[in-house]
Parts: sequence; C-alpha cells; structure tokens
Amino acid sequence: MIPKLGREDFEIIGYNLGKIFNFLAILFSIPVVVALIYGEIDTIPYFLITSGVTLILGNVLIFYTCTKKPMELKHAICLVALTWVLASVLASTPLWLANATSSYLDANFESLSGFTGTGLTVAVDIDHMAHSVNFHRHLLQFVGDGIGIIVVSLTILGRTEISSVLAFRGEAREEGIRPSVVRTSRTIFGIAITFLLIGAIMFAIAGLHEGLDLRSSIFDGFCHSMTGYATGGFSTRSQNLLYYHGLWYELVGMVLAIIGALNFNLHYVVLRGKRREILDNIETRTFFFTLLLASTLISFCLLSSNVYSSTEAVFRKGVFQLVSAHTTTGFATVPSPQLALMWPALPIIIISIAMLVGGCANSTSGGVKALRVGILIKAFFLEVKRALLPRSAVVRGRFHHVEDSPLTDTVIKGAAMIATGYLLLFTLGTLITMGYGYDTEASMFETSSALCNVGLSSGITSPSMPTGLKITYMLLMWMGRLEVITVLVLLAALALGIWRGKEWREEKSS
Amino acid sequence: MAGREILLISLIITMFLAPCVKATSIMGLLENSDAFDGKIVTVRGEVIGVLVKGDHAWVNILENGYAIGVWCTAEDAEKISVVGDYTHIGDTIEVTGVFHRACPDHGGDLDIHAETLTLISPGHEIPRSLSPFLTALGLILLVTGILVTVFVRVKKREPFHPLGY
Repeated sequence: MIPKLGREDFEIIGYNLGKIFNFLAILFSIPVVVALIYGEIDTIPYFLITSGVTLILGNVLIFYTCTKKPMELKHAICLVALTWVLASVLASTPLWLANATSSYLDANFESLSGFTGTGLTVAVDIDHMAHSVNFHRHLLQFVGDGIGIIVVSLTILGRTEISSVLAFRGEAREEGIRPSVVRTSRTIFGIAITFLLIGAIMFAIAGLHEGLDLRSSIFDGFCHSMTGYATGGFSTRSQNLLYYHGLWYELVGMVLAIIGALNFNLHYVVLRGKRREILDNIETRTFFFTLLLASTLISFCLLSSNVYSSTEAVFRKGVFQLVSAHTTTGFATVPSPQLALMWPALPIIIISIAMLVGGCANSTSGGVKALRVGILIKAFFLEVKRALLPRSAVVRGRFHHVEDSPLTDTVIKGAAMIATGYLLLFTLGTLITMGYGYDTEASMFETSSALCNVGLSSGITSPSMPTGLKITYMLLMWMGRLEVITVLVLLAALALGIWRGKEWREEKSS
Repeated sequence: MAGREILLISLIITMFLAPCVKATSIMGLLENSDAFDGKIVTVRGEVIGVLVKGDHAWVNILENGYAIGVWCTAEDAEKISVVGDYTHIGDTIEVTGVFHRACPDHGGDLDIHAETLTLISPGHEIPRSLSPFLTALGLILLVTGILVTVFVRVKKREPFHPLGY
C-alpha cells in the first residue's frame, strides 16, 4: 500500500525546503558582485528583492515546520520535485524585473530551463542584457545542473547523512563515488570547480585568439564554462557560439561538454590513476560508440546532400551540433531557422535520437543515459543468446561499470522503466507540438531537446510560441531533469492525498 | 516602338542585376538561405560585436532579434565606434556583400563577405537609472529576511550557522 502523506510528512518536507531556500537566498545575491564590477547599479535591487523574499519564505517555512524527524525516501522525492519548481519560480524574479523576458511565464520558462540545464531560451534581447542578469542565468545552470541544488544545500553545507543519501537519489544521481555521500558531494563540487576554472581559462584564451577584447573574453569564458560543464547551453550572445566564428572556441566547448557528460565516478576513478576504466566501462563504451556512429552518419548525410561541401564545415556544423546534442549541452553554431529549413530530415532525426540517448548517468547531462542504453543492448543480445541455446543452459550476463556486476532482471527492469518513461513523454510531447501545427521533424527535435534538457532549437522555442506549448515544454524539462519517476511519485502522492482527503470528508459528513 | 525599347533595356538591366538581391531583413536571409546563397545582398543592422583578426574583422549585426556575422576589412571595422551592449545601442551600419549559407572560407559559417560597409547612424548610450522604489523595496525585504532569520534561530534555539544551518 502506498503510504499517505500526513502533517508530519509535510513538516519534514517544509523544514528541508526552508533550509534549501536559505541556500538559494545566498545564491541569488551573488550576481550583485557582477553588477558592481560592471557598474550596473540599477540591476542590484532585482537581486536584493529576490534574496530577501527567498530568505523570508525559507525562514517562515522553518518556523512553522520545525522538526527533528529524519527524512525518508518519500519525503526526499517530494522535496526534490518541489524544489525544482519553487526554486525556478523564485529565480525568475530578477529576469522578470529586468525585462529580460516578455512575460512572467517566460521568466519562469527561462529560469526552469536554467535550473534543469536545458538551455532553451525565450529571453528577448540577450545582446543588450545586463552582465549581472546574464550571469544569473548561467549561474542557475551551473548550480542546478552542474552540481545539483539539493545535493549542495543538504550535504556540502552540512545536513544529515541520511537526508543527503535520499536527496541524492531523488536528484537522479544514484551512485556514490565515495563511501560517504557528504564526501561524494564534496568530490562532485571539487571536480565541478576544477573544470569550471580550467574551462574558463581555455574559453578566455580562445576568445582572445578569435579577436575578442580581454574584458569580454573573461566574462564570456566564465559564463560559457559554467554552462558548458553543466551541459546547459545558455550563452551570453543571441548567436550562441556562432558569435565567435572560431574553431578553437568551438573545440573548447566540445571538450568541456564531453567532460560534463561523463560519469562523476569515472572522473574520480581516472583521477585516482585507473585510466583503463575509460575503455572498460560499459557506459563510456556505449557513449563513445553512439557518438562515433551518429557523427559518421551525420557527416555522410550532410556531405551527400550538399549542405556542406568541406570536411571542416561538416565537422564544425554537423559534428559540433551532434556532440552538443548527445552530451545534452545545447551550444549551437547553426542558427535555428537554418537548421530547420536547410538541413535534411535524416540528420535532424539522428540528432533527436542522440538527444534521447544523452550522456552518462551520474553526470550533468540528461536523456535516458548511455549506461541504461548499454544495459538494454546487452540484455537484448543476452535474450537472443538464451533463445539459441538449449533450455537447460544457464546464461548469465555481466557488465563492467567501475566494478564487475551481474546483469540481473532488476537492473534490466530499472533501465527499461526509465527508457519507457522517456519514450512515452517524447511521443506525447511530439504529438502536442504537432497539434500546434509544427512539422514532424521539428516537433521531434524540439520535444527531445526539452525533455532531455538539451537546448538546441529548430526554431519553435521563442517568446511568441503558444502558451500551451511553453507550459508543455516546462513540464517536460522538469520531468526530464528528475528522470520521470520522481515526478510521477510526487503526482501520485498528491493525487492520493486529495482522494483520501475527499474520502475522509465524506466519512465525516455521513 | 519606344515601349519595346524600354522593355528591352529593362530586361538587359534585370539580367545584369540578377545575382544582386536586396534583402530586407536578416530573418529573410536565414529563412531563405538557399535562394540568397552566393548573391550580393544589402542588410542593415545594429553592431553587437567586433572581433578583429589581423587585417580583417568579424562584425556581428542584429536586426529584429536575428543576428549575422559580416566578414570585412579591419579598415572598414574601424568605422564602428559604438558596439551594442546593456548600456549602449550600437552603431547602425549598412552592408553590401556576398551572402554565403555555408561559407567555404569560414568552416561553413552563415555569413556575408562585405564589399561596402556604411555607417548609417552612430550608436548612443542608453540611460539607466536606479529605481528608488525597487531599491527601497529590495533593502526592506533583505533586512526583514535577515531579522526573520535571527528571530527563527533564537525562537527555535537552532545553532547559528553562516548559511542558516
């Protein structure tokens, strides 16, 4: 029987939510420093208001729900699902006050796209946006998707081990790198900061090489490093990476996106000297195999259809968009209208599939994840083998993911469940988009992009898109980030709560 | 007879001008890139970026929310004095040049190789002022937030932590 949520449960959720709000209040005040550096004093109140409101809400929640009871899995799942929605609503305030979007709904779309690491944008004039507001957008991606808001606020800043473990699972990061989850989170934080700094320096150097001035190369480099590692894809420019017209800038973006899409576990193991793990791991094998296969297919399609005539062009346009899609980053070097109108259908479909596969589990990327795809492929071949051998033969599968593990039915069922969830949402999203009059390939592309938190666009996402579609994509981004199941559990708990409440009222009246 | 002559002259002029297309917008170029490919186009837009590379430069121009890169000489780029950002509206320029939907010289970039670059109107500063109402509201909310934090910590006897823990 599904346990119902009572007053005590709401207290536990509310109390932890309050703690997270307090962390967010500090996060929302960081862009004030950028505003001071760039002399954008007029933008400071936007962040003061947001921080103040978040701090008040957080402490009011703590005051009314103060409890010392430990968190259970059901609380963690509801907490994670709620945090993403409420944090996005709060984070949308500076965007709305700065007129960075054309409506309040758009501001919410933008902040949810930021927190979930999607990168689809409805901002109206990015090229004239204040540095502080732009920094706020990029910071949301780095914290939301790069390291995980809840993991940061509950573990790095000192919450109990048990609540951290549960929140960790809710945030779709099931495996621990180190025995203690607090240590694991600190390792994730350390890895993220290291790559952030390396990426920022590399981007800044590439920017200078492409002819950008020092001030802009530092700011753009830092922002792109945040969103590149977080596989987010927001850019400080409306043209995204096409603004720089440079191979080196694009190469840094690609490398950082691939690093961000690899499992944190792998980073840790490789950093500890086990370099062979990259070759042995089922996840990296699947990821690099699908990446290579899709790159070859896309290059062949684009060359044979004469969209691009040189190898360099195919690499910088075709392979770049593919890497960006597969790692679920969303950096672009082709304008959306050109992608939708000039590219043939096949590369668009290949990119849509690459987005669905996504990067590695326990990384900053979205999608079904290479580990699950690898497990399902292995299970498929195992079934074929079973069918060919005599019934008395015992066939056991194994896979290597940091350590050797048996390929059990539970493992296969878990992977299949998530994959099915994504496919169902993908179908539903595509049908809804097509219902608004968009063609099939563009609808598939945009739905994959929203659901798998990618950010590449075929031109559908814009401030003028229908409101119903904006809401659909917001739901897809939210469900995709939390790997479907977390959101379904929250919805089931809420539905059950309402139903039981109705039952109780009926009983009382009779 | 005069009518026929005029028609003939018009036809000849049209034939000579066939590869030269006046584009009205950057959006039009992006949406019809195949049709404009290799043709001489003229576009106007606000400068949002200048990236100098040796004796040439990339000038990014924006018009109605759509931007495109213009490859021109560094000498032409020197005509630009204001680049658009939060505190500035950039110079408005008119560029006439060859449009490429996938430039063979620049790794498949969608760009215009400028033949002429003319400054149409100079850019200017955008006045930005601090809103007294929003400033007061921000300060009140922040101070209230801090006071509420202190109150909750004292009332609930929770240990003080710089981050509220």
